[in-house]
Amino acid sequence: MRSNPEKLILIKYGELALKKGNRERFERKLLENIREKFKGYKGLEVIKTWGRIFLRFGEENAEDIMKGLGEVFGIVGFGIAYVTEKSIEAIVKASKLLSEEAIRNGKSSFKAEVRRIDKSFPQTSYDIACAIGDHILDSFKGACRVDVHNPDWCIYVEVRERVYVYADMQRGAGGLPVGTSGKGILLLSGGIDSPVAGYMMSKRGLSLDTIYFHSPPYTSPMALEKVKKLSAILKRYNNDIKLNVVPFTAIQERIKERAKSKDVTLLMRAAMVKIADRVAKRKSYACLITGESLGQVASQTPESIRFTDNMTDLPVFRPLIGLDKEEIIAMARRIGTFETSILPYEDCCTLFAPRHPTVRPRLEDISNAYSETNLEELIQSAEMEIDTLTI
Amino acid sequence: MNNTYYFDWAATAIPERDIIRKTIEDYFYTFGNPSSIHDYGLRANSTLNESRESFAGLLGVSSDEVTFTSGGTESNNIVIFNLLKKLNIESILKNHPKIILSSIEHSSFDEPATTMARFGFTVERISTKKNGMFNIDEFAEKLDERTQLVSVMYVNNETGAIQPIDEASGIVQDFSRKTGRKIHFHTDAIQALGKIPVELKKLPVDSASFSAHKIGGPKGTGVLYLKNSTGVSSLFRGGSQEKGKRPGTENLPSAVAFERCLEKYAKNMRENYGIVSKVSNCLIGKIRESGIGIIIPEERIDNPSLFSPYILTVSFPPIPSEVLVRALSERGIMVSAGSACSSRNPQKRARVLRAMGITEEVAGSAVRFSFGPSTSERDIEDTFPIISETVFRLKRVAGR
Repeated sequence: MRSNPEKLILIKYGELALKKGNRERFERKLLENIREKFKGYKGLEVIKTWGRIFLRFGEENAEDIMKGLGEVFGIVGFGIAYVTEKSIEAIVKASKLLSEEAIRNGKSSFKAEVRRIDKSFPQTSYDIACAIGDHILDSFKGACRVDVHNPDWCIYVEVRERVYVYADMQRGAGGLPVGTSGKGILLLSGGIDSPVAGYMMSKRGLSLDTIYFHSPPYTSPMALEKVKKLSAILKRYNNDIKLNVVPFTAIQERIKERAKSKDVTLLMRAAMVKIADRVAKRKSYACLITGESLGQVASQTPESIRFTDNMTDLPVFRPLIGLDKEEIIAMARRIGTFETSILPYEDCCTLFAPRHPTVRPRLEDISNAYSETNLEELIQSAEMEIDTLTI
Repeated sequence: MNNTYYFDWAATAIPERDIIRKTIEDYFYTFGNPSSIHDYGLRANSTLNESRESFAGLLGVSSDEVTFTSGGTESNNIVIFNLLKKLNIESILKNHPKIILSSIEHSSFDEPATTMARFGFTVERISTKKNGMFNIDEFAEKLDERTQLVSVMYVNNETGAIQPIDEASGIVQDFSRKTGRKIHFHTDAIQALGKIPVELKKLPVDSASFSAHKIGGPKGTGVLYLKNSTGVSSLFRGGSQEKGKRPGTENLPSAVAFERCLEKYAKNMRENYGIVSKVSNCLIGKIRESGIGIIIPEERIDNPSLFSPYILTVSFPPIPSEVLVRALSERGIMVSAGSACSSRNPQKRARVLRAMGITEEVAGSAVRFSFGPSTSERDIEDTFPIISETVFRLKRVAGR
C-alpha cells in the first residue's frame, strides 16, 4: 500500500433526484449555491459525479465547511469520505481510518455495506465486507464487534471508477436548493415569527429578500439594527439578501389620525402588504412571505387575513399559519434567530397599539376605513424613499 | 440640523476640553508607573499624590481618605461587597446581617444589594415619599442591631431630590452611640459633587462615591472617600496601590484630570448654581405655563431648595419616554428617558419613579432634562418652542 486514501467531503442530495424533469436545473443550482456559500475558501474544489457532490478541501478547515453545509438547502446528508484506488488493501485501510474515529468517539459495534457498481472488480460485495470486518476486528481487538442489525457505525463502500468509503452522514438541511422556486419578499418585523417563516420558505427553494417598515421616532434605530441582524442570519441559508427599509412614519401617523383606534393595527398591516406588493412587482418577486400564525393576534384571523390579502394579487405564503408559538420558538432557536428576535427593541410603539383591536372585520367596513385614510400619495412617496441595503 | 442642545449632563457632562488636553499633554512627562522607584515612577507618584491632596482639600478631608477607582459603580461596589470580607460566612448565614438602602439608589448600588440578598444578607429598601425623599421615619424603624450598612444617595439622579443625608446619618450615629454598634453609612454623591456643597467633614458619613465624567472629567475614573477608621477595601486583590484598598496600576492622567475638573467646578459652584437654577426655573415655568407636561415631583415647585437644579424630570403623558427622546434628538435636543444606565432596559426603567408612587403612564412618559455650567436660559428659550411643538405633535398622534 502506497499512501493514505484521499479524504473528501461527500454530499448527498435526495429530493432532487426524484424530480426527473427538473433534476439538472436543481443540481446546477445546488452546485452554484455551494460554490457561492464557500467562495471565501480558495482551496476548495467542488466535484460533481453520479448523483453525488464531493468537496476536495485541501488545506481548508473541514469542520467549518461541514458547519456551512448544514445551512445549504437541497442537501440530505454529508460527511467525510475516503476515495481510494481500486484494491482491497486500500478499501480496508480507509475503513480502518473511519473506524478509528468511531471507536475514539466511544462506539463499539459496526457493519459494512458494499455496493459493487463496477462489476469488473475481482472480489464480490460479500468478499469485500468480510475483508473489512476481519481487518477491523483484528486491528482493534476487543474494542469492537460486528452487529449487522443495529450497529453503532456503518462503513459504506461504493466501488465505481474509484472506490468511495464513508461512514454515517450528518443530516443536511433538506429541502430544495435556494433559488429553484424563484424569489420572494419576506415582511420582516424583528419579532420571533417572520425570520422563521423566511427560513421555511427558503427551504422550499425560494430565494429571499426582506422588507422592513421603519417609523422613527416611534421605533428605535436599534429595531432597525435588529432587523439587519436577522437578515444577516437568514443570509446563511440564502446566498444573498437585500433588505428594503421603508420609511413608514407618515403612513402610520395618517392612519392613527384618520382611522378608528381599533382599526389602526390592521390598516397598518394592510398598508405594509400594499407596499410589499408594489416592491415585489417592481423587482419581479413571485410572492410575499409573512410570519402570520392563525389567531395569534387580532390581525391574524381569517377575516383580517382576507382583508390584507386584498392588497395584493401575488400569492402570500404563511408557512407558520398552523404552528403554535412553542413550535415557532423551537425553530427560531434551532436556526439561530431567537436570541436576536427577543432583544427588547419594539417594532411597534405602544402609541399605535389599540387596547381593543378589531378581530373580525367586515370586509366592506374595513375596506372603507382603509379608503378613508387616503394613503396612496403617502405610499408612493414612501416607495420612492425605500433604502435598499445589501446584507 | 443647525444647532444641537445637550440637556443630558447627568448621564455625562460635556468634557472640560482645556483640562483634558492639558492633562494628556502633561502625561507625556508623568507617564511612569507610580509604583516604580526610579525617577519616572517617583515623578508619577508625586503627581498622583498632589492630585489626591488637592482633591481631599477640595472635599475638606484628609488625603489618605481619598481612593481613586474606576468610577462611581466601582466605588459603590467596593463598599457593599466589603461586607463579604468583613463578616464570615457562618455569621452571614446565621444572623442574616442587614443592609438598608433607599429604594431610589442608583443601579450600581441597588443591583449589588440584590446580589447580597442572595448571599444571605437581609436587604431592606426604604420607601420613597411622593416628593422624592426617602422615608426617614420608616428608616429609623428599620434600623436595628443586625444592621451593618446603610446607603442613601445624596442627589437622586432622576429627580434631583436632595436626600436628608444629615438627618439619616445623624439617626445612625445616635443609634451607634446608644448601642455601641458601629454601622457604616454610605452615600452615593455622584450627582452632588461640584454642583452642591458636599461637606464630608460635617456629615457623619463613612464613605462617599464620586465620578469624574459627571463633572467634565474622563470616563472610567472615580473616587471613593473612605473615612480612616472604616477598614473598607476592594474584594479584588493585587498590588498595594491606593494603600491596598484598590489594587491595579493607577489611572494617573484621569485622576489628575478629575481633580482639575473638581477644582474648576468647586471654584464656580455658587455661580454655576445660580445659572443652572435660572435654567431649571425657566423650563419649569414654561412647562407649567404651557401645561404640556407634569413636573416630577410636583412638590419641587414649592420647595425648589430640596432639589438639585441640575436635574429636572418632566412627564408628557401619554408619549412614551423613548419616543419623545428620539423625536427631540431628531430636532437636535438631547435629553434622556430616565437614567442612562437603565434607559435601554424597559423592565428597569422608571424604577425610581414607580418607587415614588407615580402611575405607570406618567412614569413611562417621563423625560429627564439635566444641565451643566454651560447651559443657559437662552438654550431653554431657543428649544422650548421645539419641545412644545414636538410634544403637541406627538400628543396629537396619540389622540390627546
